[in-house]
Formats: sequence, C-alpha cells, structure tokens
Amino acid sequence: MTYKEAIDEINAILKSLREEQNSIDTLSERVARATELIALCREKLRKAESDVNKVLEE
Amino acid sequence: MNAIQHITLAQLQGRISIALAEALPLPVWVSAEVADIKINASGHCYIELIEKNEKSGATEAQARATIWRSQVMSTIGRFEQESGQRLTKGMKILFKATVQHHAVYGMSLQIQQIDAMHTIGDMERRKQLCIEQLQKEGVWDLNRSLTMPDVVQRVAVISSATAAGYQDFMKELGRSAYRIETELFEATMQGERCDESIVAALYAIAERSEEFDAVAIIRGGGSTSDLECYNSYNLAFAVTQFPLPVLTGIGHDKDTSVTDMVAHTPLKTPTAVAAWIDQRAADFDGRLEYHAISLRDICRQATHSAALRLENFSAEVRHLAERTLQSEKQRLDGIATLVANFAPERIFRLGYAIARKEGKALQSVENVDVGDVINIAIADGELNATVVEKRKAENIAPIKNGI
Repeated sequence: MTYKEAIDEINAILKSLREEQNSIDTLSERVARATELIALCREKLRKAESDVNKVLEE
Repeated sequence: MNAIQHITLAQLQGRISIALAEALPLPVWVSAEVADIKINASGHCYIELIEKNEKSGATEAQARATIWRSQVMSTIGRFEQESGQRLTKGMKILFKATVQHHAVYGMSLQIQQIDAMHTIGDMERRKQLCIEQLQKEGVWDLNRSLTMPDVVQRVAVISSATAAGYQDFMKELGRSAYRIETELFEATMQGERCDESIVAALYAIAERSEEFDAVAIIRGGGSTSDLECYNSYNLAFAVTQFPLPVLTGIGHDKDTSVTDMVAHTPLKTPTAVAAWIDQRAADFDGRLEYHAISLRDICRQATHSAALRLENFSAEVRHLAERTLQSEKQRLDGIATLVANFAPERIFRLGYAIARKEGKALQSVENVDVGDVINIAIADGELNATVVEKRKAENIAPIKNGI
C-alpha cells in the first residue's frame, strides 16, 4: 500500500465518520483501521525522512 | 711629274697633337658613363667611356681613359671612399682629365680626379625614377599587402652560400627554440648583374611557392659595397609581384634600397631577419599560451559556478523535502486527533451511552415499545433495562431508566 492510498483511505474513513448516520456499529472498527493506517503513514514518513537525509548527505 | 702635296701620317698625328694641346691646354671636367673598366697586370687602370642618348640609348660618343698606377689610389680609392661605391661598369661619373694624343695610340683621357657627389646624385636620381615608376604602375604596396603567416616556419633563403651574412642568419636561427626550416637558393649578392641573379632565384622559388611561408633576401658581412643592384627596377618589380611575403636583410645602415622599400618586412641585417622570424614564432606561442590559460580559467569558472548552483539546488531540495515531510507530519497529527475524537472510549468518557435493542444501536424511539428490554453500554460496562415510558422529542425530559 502506498502512502497516498493510505491517506485516501483515511480521508474516506473520516468522511464516513463525519457524515454517516449509521456509523456507531462499525465505529470502533473504522477508528481502529484509521489508526492503523495513520501508524503506517507515520512509518512511511519516517522512512522517507531518513532516506532523504541519507541521500542528501552523499 | 706633279706629285700631290701631302704630309705623312706621323705629321698629321703631330698636327692633331698640337691642335688638341692648343684647344684643350688645361684639364677639363667631363661627365660620362663607364662602359668598361679594367686594371691590368702592371696596375694601370683602363676605362671605356661612353655617352648614350637618354631616350634611344644609342651611343653618341665614346673615348678611352687611363689612370696610371701611381694615380689609382688617389683617384679611384678616394672616389670609392667618398661615395661608398665601387667604381664599376654602368656608373655615371664626373671626372677631371687632360686630353692626350699619341701618334700610335690616338686620343685618350688621363683622369686625375672623380667627383663622388655626381655619381651619388645620379644614383639617387635613378633610384627616385625607379620608385616613381613602381608607384605609377600601382605595384608599390603589392608585396606588403600579402598576409604574413602567424608563424614563418618554412623560409626560402636567397643568399650566397659562403657569405658571412648567411652563416650569421643560420646561426641565429639555430638558437631559436622553434624548428624553422630553410632552403637556400643561391644567388650572386653583389657586383654587376647581381639583380638578375636574385631575380632568377625568386623565379625558382615562385615555382614552388606553396612549399614556403616567406622569402628572405639576405646579404651582409661585406665591407664597402655596391647596393646599386638593390635599386634595380627589375629586382624591385620582381619583389612587388612575388606571391610570398619578402623579408630583406641586405646589411647596410646608411641608406634604404628600393628592394627594402617594396619588401613586406625590411630588416637591417641577416641576423635581424632570423631574430624577427624567431620572435614572431615566440609571439604566436605566447598567444597560444595565453589562450590556454584563458580556456583553463573559463573552465574553472564554469565548473565553479555550476558547483555553486548545485549547492543551491541541494539546499533547496533539502528545504523542500523537509517542509513536505513536516507538513505531512502535521497533517497526520491532525488526522490522528480527528480519528481519536471518534473513538468510543472518548464518547463514553464524555458521559454518553449507547442504547441497543436486539444488538442494534437505537437512533429513534420509534422502534422501541414500553416493556422492551434494551441494552445500554457505558464506559465501564453494560446495563440491561426495561423501557417504562416512551416520549417523542417535542417534550423531551431526562430519561428515566427503569432497572
């Protein structure tokens, strides 16, 4: 999964959380999914940061 | 028998002698051209004198002249010293002479003195005529208008092989740091008809002109000298017409010859010609060196500014990357906060509860009847409750939870 795909999915979840009436039943599931995706993005961001630093040092 | 009255030949010659002595008792100044001159074994000098018609060239007068051995030094020697010229065939002279008549040898002139100024003046006049002629023909600047190569590396040399000037020239070139190729075209460089000899050498070079960069006419090391042939129209004309630039080192300091005047680059001596050739090569070498240094500087500057630009790029890339990463981090933080707001734990913490009937969250009172058992989830557990009353939102009041 790419960073962009992850972000798109997080945005989709946020949108559903904001709008959908019927969200209570799957709420914790979606929050958990969003949290997991955020962690994934953070990891990707950290990796990108360290890669950028490594490249710039060369 | 009537014998005709007569005199003998000797008597006639005697009368002529007397008449001449009476008519020309004193020395006279005479101008004429030297048609021939020799000094015989005994040291006496015999000169054939001539006068030609200026226009037609036809002989108008002729006479023999003598300078006795005892007079040679004081007459010819003095003339040559004063004029700087050797007394030769073709020269116009003004001399003081007595007229002698001999019964056997006829009339002859005995020269006592020769005026150097007259000959110099005549030569100067002829030189001027030659200059005027070349200018009138529009060839005066022809050789000078040729382009001298930046490096004169292949030189056709006109000289006599044994001349000291030629040795000087070769020695000077030998000292050069540059390899200058020479080829000698031998010619007679002084005396009678030397102009023809030089012109012949020029023709020989002209046939192979693509093999050379320039021609050097050199002469020198001689003592007093006749430069007359270097004022020759034929030689000067050949130089003006020459397909290669002509350098001269004729080796004289008093006067400039017509050949020097029409040459591309006239120099004083053979050594000066060699030094000039060497210097020209050195100048070119210097220019090359200068260009090489400029080129190196330009390259250095270019790489330096490119490096600087890259440095800037790299800084910018770093900056942009950091900014992107930073903003992305902030965005993720924002999203995380938003998501956290939706977490059920938080909702419960705020005091909200979730009511379910048959496992489905309740969002309206419509689906619930009095007496139904519903499940209520709160922060630290669940409650099962029975509905005792149901009211629509118009007159909403705190819900009474019957347990």
